[in-house]
Amino acid sequence: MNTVTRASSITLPFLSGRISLLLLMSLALFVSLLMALAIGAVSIPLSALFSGRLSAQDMAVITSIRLPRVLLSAIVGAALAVSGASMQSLFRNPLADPGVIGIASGAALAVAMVIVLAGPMSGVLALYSLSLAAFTGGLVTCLLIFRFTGISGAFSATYMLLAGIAINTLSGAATGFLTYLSDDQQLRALTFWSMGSFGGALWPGVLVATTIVLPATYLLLRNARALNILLLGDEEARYLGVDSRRLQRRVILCTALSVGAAVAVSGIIGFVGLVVPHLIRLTLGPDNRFLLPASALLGALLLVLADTLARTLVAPAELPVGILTSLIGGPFFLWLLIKQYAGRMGL
Amino acid sequence: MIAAENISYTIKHRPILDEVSVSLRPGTVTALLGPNGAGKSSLLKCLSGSVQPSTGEVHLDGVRLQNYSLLELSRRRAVLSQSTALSFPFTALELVLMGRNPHTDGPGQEDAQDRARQALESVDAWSLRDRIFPTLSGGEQQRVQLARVLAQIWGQRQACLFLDEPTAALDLKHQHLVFQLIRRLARGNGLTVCVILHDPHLARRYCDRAILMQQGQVFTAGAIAEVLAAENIERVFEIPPDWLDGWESL
Repeated sequence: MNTVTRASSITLPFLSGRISLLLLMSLALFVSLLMALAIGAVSIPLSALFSGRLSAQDMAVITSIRLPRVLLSAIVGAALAVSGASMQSLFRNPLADPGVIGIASGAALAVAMVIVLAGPMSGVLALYSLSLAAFTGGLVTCLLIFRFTGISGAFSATYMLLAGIAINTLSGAATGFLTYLSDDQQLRALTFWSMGSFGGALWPGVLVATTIVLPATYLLLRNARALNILLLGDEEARYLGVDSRRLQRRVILCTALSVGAAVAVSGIIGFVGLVVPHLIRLTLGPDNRFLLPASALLGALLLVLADTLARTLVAPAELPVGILTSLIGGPFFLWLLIKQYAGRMGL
Repeated sequence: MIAAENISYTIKHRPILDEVSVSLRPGTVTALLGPNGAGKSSLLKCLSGSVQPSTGEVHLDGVRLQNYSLLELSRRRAVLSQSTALSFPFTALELVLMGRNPHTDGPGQEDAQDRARQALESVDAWSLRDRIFPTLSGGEQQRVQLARVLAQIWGQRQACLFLDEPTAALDLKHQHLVFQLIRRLARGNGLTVCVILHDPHLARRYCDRAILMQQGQVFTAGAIAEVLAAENIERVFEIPPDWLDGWESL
């Protein structure tokens, strides 16, 4: 039998190794942000970007189109990845993901309701109210699934996934019904928004997402150690001095806020919350004190790259980035599952 | 000193514990015995503060258990549950270090590594430190979980230790090693130990006192030799006398 080992990563030298890795990821994110600013339908060389000698038109492209879009994709990527990682600790299940268990679609349904029933809106306040709706939808879904999977006492992956399927189907049907009710303009807004895109990204979106996602992410990161303990079980966590109920409530609230904000500004972008933490856990272990910040950085990096691809592959048209992440993320996740299964079977 | 006075515990009108009064003394190992469903685990949960009895009170050193905060309690008592599942790929050492969580901001945070190592060594599991916990065998997992629980109160005096069937998955050698360790800790550090087990041989060999339970009530409690007399075992476990042939003379 081959044994599975990993250097226990608590000793100090390795801790600094982890920190240097985080720094490396930050650097990669920074470089990708610059690249994303330079690449696009109008190519703006990096040298011009650095020297500041930009034409008025290039300047406008950067400040009012690309910069908000690039920043937004980074924030949404971080929000989805950190929410996914936290939710996996909450449900003690590496398959928990805002998309898979229906929290994103619950949020999306709430947003669709606002779009269709309240009519078109614009501006910062409108975005906040969309975020509030998405947050409420996400929160209700999350609580529902949490109660449902917790009924038997022990969390069961089967119940969680079945509840997710049911909720995804239900909100899909309800959103479909709303689509049926909507007029042409609403229909267009709904369709593009639900595919997940940063196409309409403007500064108000950045403002709204930042003010919600940053505090929520900060709170989740601060609870990383307690989240590790929670993985041992509710009762064990209490024996170790962690108020598991309060922690669970806090995590549900923060992830619903983050996912709500992400869904409100960019629609449903799948698989980021699933694949990113999984990748980090596979290579560097499950310690949330490292997993959460690393997920934030890698999630941001991944979505900045994906969005750059989405707007350049078929330029001057563009792909919805949600379709792209699902296209890449789906097979990748299957590959991970197969690899994991093969590893466990010693193949 | 832990004392329970007339505690009852009911779940959905079903009585689990009925007017139970017991006390646990520092420096002694108390065995909690009884048939399946006698209420042993529930009593352990009441005594360790995991659940609050429906009526009656549990005192730790004269103070009601509810008056301790979760953190205060976690710094002076550790509990090993019957089954703990963990599907995330933590290493054995990382898991044991989680046992030091209550001391993160208090005294003893610097030597968390040392205490985790000593706890793992004490259950003969230091060689497993870098192994991924979910890939360990059942017995190995149980020893590592025990090390986590021991690490929580390692080096402390007057702490309390509750163990629910700590040797259920262990081989013969490790069963004895674990009970020798538990007795050594009780004697040396003045720990109050309460352990649920099913093997009367192990209980008689390593425990000082025993509480024999039947249908949610204490059948008898006291010194181990008296509690584990053949007629008590026959009555509580409802087994014919010839199943215990030679038990008294062993």
